[in-house]
Amino acid sequence: MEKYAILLGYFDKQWLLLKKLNIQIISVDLSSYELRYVFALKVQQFYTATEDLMKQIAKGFENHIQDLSAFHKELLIRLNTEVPQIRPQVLSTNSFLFLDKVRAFRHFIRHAYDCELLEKELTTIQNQFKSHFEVLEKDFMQFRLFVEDLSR
Amino acid sequence: MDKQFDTNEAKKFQERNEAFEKDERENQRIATLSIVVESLKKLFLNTDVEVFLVGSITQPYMFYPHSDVDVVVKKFAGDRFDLWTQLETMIRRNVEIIIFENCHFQEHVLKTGYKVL
Repeated sequence: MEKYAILLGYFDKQWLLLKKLNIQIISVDLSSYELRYVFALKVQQFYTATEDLMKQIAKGFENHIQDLSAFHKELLIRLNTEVPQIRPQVLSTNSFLFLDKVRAFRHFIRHAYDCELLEKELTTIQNQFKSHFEVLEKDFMQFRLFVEDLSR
Repeated sequence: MDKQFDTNEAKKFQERNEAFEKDERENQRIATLSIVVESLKKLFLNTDVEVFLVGSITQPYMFYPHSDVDVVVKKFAGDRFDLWTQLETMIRRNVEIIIFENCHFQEHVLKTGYKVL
């Protein structure tokens, strides 16, 4: 089906970007005060790119996504849930918890007018990327196979 | 327009609508405040952490459907973003967790914040 072939194309393009951002995020030296801002920007870009991919997935399989701008967590909750006879769960609970934390961090960076970037807090986030990105990749790739099957 | 339009009547209609929306909003704020306080008490009961609410959730008629709930925590040594996601799950609304010790408006928090714990 053409709709899913298009989604597959978008999926691959977006995944390349996410892999690149992940490498940049885990490589930032957080002991440097200036580089903490680079880290914050990259994490923000990472979540926005992931959210765009999740929105495309939701659009491909569901119709009701208009309220997602109000409560971004809703999209994560939705993708952590199987839609019987329509699509399997996209995100495992581990990936859901990881991305939820990254989403909260993005909110903090976007909305705090005068935020203090503490090395300890950022290191915790960076470590989460180091330990969870592979799980996220596994989840997305598994879902990609499902989309690939539909596109044939 | 074929006939004279009654602007006063239209104005009265808009005012009634506005008053109704304002009351609804305030009822929503009070209900949300109660859920937030209850959730924070569950999370921090029997700990040394002090918790304050600031911003629109504490101000009558100022809390809108898309408003965040601003929470300030003092003497909190845990992971801010874990608390953030946990509280959002409990209240199903966007929150903002502010660490008192790094906060640039400490005086404002102590003077005008709603002390939960």
